[in-house]
Amino acid sequence: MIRSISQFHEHERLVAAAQTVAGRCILWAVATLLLVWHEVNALMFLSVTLVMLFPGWRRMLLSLAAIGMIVDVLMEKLDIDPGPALLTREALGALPWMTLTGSTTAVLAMILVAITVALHFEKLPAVIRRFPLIAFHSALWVALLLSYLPGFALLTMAPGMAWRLSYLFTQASRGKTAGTRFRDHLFYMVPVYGTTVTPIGKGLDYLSRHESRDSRSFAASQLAGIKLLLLAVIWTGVQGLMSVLVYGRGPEQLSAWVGGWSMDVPLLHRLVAGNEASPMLVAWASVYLDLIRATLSLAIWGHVIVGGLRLLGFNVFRNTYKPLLAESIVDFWSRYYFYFKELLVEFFFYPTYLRSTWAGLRTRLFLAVFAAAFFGNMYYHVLAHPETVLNFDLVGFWEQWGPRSIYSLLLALGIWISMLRQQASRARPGRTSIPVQLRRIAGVWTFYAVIRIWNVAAPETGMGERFEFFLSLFGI
Amino acid sequence: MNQMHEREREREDLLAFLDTIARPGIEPSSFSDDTNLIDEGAIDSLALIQIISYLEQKHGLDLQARGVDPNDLGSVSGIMGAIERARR
Repeated sequence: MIRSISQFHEHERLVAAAQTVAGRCILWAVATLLLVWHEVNALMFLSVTLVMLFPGWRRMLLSLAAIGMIVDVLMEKLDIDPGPALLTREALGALPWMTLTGSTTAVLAMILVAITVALHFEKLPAVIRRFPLIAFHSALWVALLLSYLPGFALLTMAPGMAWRLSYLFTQASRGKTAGTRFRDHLFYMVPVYGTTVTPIGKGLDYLSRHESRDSRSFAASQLAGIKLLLLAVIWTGVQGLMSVLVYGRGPEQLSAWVGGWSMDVPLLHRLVAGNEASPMLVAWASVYLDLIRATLSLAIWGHVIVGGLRLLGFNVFRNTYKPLLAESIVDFWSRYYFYFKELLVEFFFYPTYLRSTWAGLRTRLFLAVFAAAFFGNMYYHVLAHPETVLNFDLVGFWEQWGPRSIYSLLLALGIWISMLRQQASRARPGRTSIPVQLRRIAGVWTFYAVIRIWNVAAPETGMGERFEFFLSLFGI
Repeated sequence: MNQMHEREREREDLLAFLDTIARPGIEPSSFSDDTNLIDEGAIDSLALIQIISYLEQKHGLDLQARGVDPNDLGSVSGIMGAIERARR
């Protein structure tokens, strides 16, 4: 019964009904309500509506929406706010209008150059074809350095597209871009469903495999999208309740609804920073609860983006899938932030594993896991916030990234050991009892909750304070 | 005739191996040979390294040298194709 409700999007009768005119109208109305509830931008709402009306023009429509997103991002960067007015020269004024159109053209030209280079991959010099990602990322850092020159500030937008372009170059190096055009790639470079640094939905290869080809698969994809958006509503409610009941923060209305009662557990980042003190047991509670809080936030964020993608007809995997039920560290890693993990696996794990045939299995696994979970993890974050590198600020770099390096190191070690254990346990399959399962889940929670001490966002909190807090959990 | 028999035996070996790395409760043999098992959630992308090791150890296949895309090893037909290409 519960499964029947939770898997409503798979019911054949419902999928069939969603393909009728009345069904599509209801689907559109529900989708609109949910998109509005999640405060999704107007372009996304417009895109869903138009793609529902003209599904055959999906990529063209989404490419136009991508141009709209570029304008949107640039208006924020250039501090242009036209309010409800249209983006005309008269409404904006001559100079802002010229700046906006010039910048939009420049960004589009930048994307056009990158995509054209990838689509003519076989004509590139041999050394670039051999190491396409190293070549691309080297060019990216040169572009970031150039962004300091007057008139080149727009190049700071490059890291935002870095991983989407990485997917494109990888696809090109494998000869999988044949027959594709500029518009096939533009729509996911600055995607209307979420311009995040992590490429939710990956690149064209993955999106194409999950793209709806007929009305049945489109209806099924949209129902699956609605399910995710509904789940995001539920998790938002749970998150609000948790904020009120556990932390004594959150919406006032909700607080009044529970009579102002709260456990008043301090937030982890405040404990780590030393802004609040608490008994050992409460500190442990805060450590575990912060993992739940972070998981809820990530799930809500990811469900809205993936839900949107599904509404547009790309029935891709969700970003977060029940990580708190994972029974191993490596399983949690796969379920917690799927598209980030996929990025690390694709660009760091596979290449290292495939190139290290000289080593034994354990060593290869070690090298590949460290390349992904440690080096790749660090590189991803540094690229997203490259200021200290570009300013050659070593002290600032250590202060900003030191704690994360400990987190990434512990994460990589945990994943490596977990993978070795997983391989060993596959050699002796068998059913596991519920207490054993619960013990495993508790172990996974403890690992991820504790390493968050070095990852929780606590500005101005260095390694010393974080280690101090860690030791205080054991009364030291 | 012998080649077909050999291919069928390799396919059965492969399915038996995939059963050992698939998520609990999911049988790779219940999908068609062209189905991408990663897309279906039957195996995780990290489990691909087990397939790579299987191909290296059982068939002496060097994926790096042959420029094989690991993502193409997500289906039975993709893996069988890689084995056949390695033989040529």
